[in-house]
Amino acid sequence: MEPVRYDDRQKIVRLSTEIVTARRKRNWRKYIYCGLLLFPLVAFIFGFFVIPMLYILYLSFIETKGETNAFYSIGNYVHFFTDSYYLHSLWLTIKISLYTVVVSLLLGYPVALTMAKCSPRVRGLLTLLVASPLLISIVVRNFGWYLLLLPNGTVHQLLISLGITTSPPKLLFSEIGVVIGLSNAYLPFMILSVATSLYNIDPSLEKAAAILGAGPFRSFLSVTLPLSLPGIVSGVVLVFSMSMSAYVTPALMGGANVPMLPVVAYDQIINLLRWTYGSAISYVLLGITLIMVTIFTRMMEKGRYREVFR
Amino acid sequence: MSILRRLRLLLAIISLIYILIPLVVTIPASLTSANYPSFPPKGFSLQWYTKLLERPEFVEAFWNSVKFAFLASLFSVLLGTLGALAIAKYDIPGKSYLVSLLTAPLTVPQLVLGIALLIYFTPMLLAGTPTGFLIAHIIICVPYVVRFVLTGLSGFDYNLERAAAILGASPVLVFWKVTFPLIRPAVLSGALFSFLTSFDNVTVSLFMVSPEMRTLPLEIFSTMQDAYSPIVASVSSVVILISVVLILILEKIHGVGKLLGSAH
Amino acid sequence: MQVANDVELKGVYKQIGRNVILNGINLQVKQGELLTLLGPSGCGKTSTLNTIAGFLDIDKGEVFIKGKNVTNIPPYKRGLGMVFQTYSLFPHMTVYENLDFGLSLRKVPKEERRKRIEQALELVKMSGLEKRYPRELSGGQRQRVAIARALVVQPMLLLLDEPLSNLDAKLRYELRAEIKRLQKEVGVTTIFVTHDQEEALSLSDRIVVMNKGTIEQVGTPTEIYEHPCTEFVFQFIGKSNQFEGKVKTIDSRMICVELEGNTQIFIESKNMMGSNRSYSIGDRVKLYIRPEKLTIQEQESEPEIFYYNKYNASIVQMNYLGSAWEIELLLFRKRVQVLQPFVKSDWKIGAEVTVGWNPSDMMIVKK
Repeated sequence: MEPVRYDDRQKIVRLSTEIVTARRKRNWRKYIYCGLLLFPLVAFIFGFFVIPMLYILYLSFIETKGETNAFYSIGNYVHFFTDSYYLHSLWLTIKISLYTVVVSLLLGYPVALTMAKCSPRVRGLLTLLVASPLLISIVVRNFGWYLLLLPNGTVHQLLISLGITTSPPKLLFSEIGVVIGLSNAYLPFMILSVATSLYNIDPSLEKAAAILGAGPFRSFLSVTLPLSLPGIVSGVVLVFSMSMSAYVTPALMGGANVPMLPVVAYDQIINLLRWTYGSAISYVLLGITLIMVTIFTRMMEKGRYREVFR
Repeated sequence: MSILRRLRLLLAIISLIYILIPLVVTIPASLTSANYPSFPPKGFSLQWYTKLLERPEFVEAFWNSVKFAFLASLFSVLLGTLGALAIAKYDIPGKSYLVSLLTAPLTVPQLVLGIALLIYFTPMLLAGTPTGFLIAHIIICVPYVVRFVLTGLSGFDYNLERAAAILGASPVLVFWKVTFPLIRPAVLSGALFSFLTSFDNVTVSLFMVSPEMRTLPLEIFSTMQDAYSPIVASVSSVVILISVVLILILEKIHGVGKLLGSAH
Repeated sequence: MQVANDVELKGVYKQIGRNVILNGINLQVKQGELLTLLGPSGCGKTSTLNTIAGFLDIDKGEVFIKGKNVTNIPPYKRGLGMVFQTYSLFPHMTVYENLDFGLSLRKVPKEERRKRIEQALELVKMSGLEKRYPRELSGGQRQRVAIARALVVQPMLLLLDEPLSNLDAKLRYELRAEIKRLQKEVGVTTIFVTHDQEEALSLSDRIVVMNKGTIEQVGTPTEIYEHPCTEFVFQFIGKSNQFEGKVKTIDSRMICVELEGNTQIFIESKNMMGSNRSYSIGDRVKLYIRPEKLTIQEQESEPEIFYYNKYNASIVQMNYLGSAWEIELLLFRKRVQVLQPFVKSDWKIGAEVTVGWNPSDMMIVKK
């Protein structure tokens, strides 16, 4: 091969620098376009979401004793965890959220199973029926329960007319009412979550179990249920998190009788104007939820059925 | 056995009824001729709908809700679509973290969001103003738009854009004639979804509201607590009907189940 | 009447919507044999297998396994073994637990279970992998474990639904031989479903060729290949060359068919295919012959077979396959494929050669 001549080499170097600068110019244009499109959104989210969240985190570490005395401390948090009223509220919130999760799971799993086993057209219809209530305002859904659960409401009258009891128990403004309201609100999430993981199960696995001798129930326990665990876990996490921080439903369905933490927090902020304390309560709520969810998820992912999560 | 199957179907039907029953009983209850809400309703009368029209606070709240929902939807679609386009098309470092950030408002409870915005807006004199209200609604709607459009753009063949460019189309024309038609369903779904989300919203709105600025769900909320009457049934029925119409349109365009599946 | 048949299907009929999936299937599977259901997709072979397994509810007909009418018995009570195209190993169980599944359902005592699992794994050469999860195994390994899982419960039948279709060619070839060896060693009656005719020919004791829900032919691989009963079977298995003509003469030994251009071809009378086997002079017919049955003649040789067909043709194409030559000739104005083990030096494109074949190697069917 002929050696490259000197002036040819010069030409090559010039050409390659031209290419590099042309590329850089093209890239500049790309960066500008990208930035232009992205900047408004990112700025908006940053300015009106990230900063406010950080701001109240910051505030939660400020204690105000009296009108003027403000200093940094974890006092708000200490106050929270040493006051029995708030601890009781936290415990109540956790308890009701757990009940809600259990009810949602027990009622939701059969629906998800049915959706997984039916024809695509029926599945589409069921998905629509299950998902639609999520797009209808929560107050409207709670009102429906008012109609049903108020004293002398539909359920009471039904119980009386069926002769089951003459003085039916109080359903609204009680823990039961809140669990009913919350599970009703979040059931679709559980259903959709479990259904998704059921859809992903290889159908011939159930056939394999059957041919090996497993009847429908055994096949469900040994194959379907374990393989649907990812969906169950994400459903549980979702419903639990939303129940822990729900405000409207506990306020309407429980009222003053069921002082769940979000209701307490609202009170502190709006009525008592204790912003720093209210901020701390918010982050306690977030923190506890996160911790419980993480523990649960870790437990499941390292447990007996950990293979399912791979 | 067939017993197991029957049990499963029975439970499934009970659950479905459980989900839908509060919505189903509301509409008949609004047609009661009595002056207290009940299901089944006593008698038949449209009085609670006519009374609705005579109550300026409900009418005004309705229009407020529509206005804010429309504006929130509009801005969310603008911000979200442009941002999603950029994310899908360009190689941005830390892209997945960016997407997580942009959809983070969905994971934060509305209670905490409401508190944060209230406290944040007050020194900015935005608390209790329509602007602040709108901003709050945009924050809760825009993540959905971003998600939907990103999903709609996954698998998009960028050679289509290059082909149009080579044929002489300017970037704006390329977007309008090539990219946009393909993401139109996602954008429309995002718009409708945002509208409904804003229209329905209660929790965050509670922190953003002021006496002059009531929206329909907030009116329902306070009326349920202070002045419980069948008018709540009629106004709720109106909300249900509007929502159902929009949901059916959404189902036609994209499929509600698929959207919510992708949104979580 | 001795029950020598392990499986018997009588008049099995299934229709879904407008499609007739199984159109009156009658089948007997002999004890200990490896029977293959072969056919294109949609022919009903998998549906037949599913009927035997119990996964398909048939509209009409009966299914007998070892003399017992199992038509209304659900799959989990039939005591069979099955291997699926997608292996279908339980992903959340180890290899050991997968094999243990069926055994624990049959309430086999623990020690016995361990022994049987060890034996089964040894049989498929997967010993030592008990604690692995399916995700950690290769495709071929998974398939072996699937076979072991089906066999460890000592089933009455072994059903295999296209078990090799998901594997690459080399693995498919290896496992094919494994399955054949296993089946003979264990002796279990096996029904194998495939669309690959090479697989069917090499594996089976008998083949059932199916098409559009009906059985075209049942026979040993040799019978299917050398003496196909219908056009479909001829064309589906192996390659074919086809001609058309009219019957000129018939007698009990030989049929003479005249092609256009007055060429006369002789075919043995017993080589009829199709259901209509009464021929008269003037009938329009189709003639079929396999490429390897056509021989390009060396100039001087004169075969002693009476009525031997010998004609001139020109070479159009020559393809070297490594183990043989595939030569395309223009014969009777048609392109014909010939398979030759070697070629002569003067054979090249355009060369005129003589090609010949034995009347016993050609099949005839009415048009």
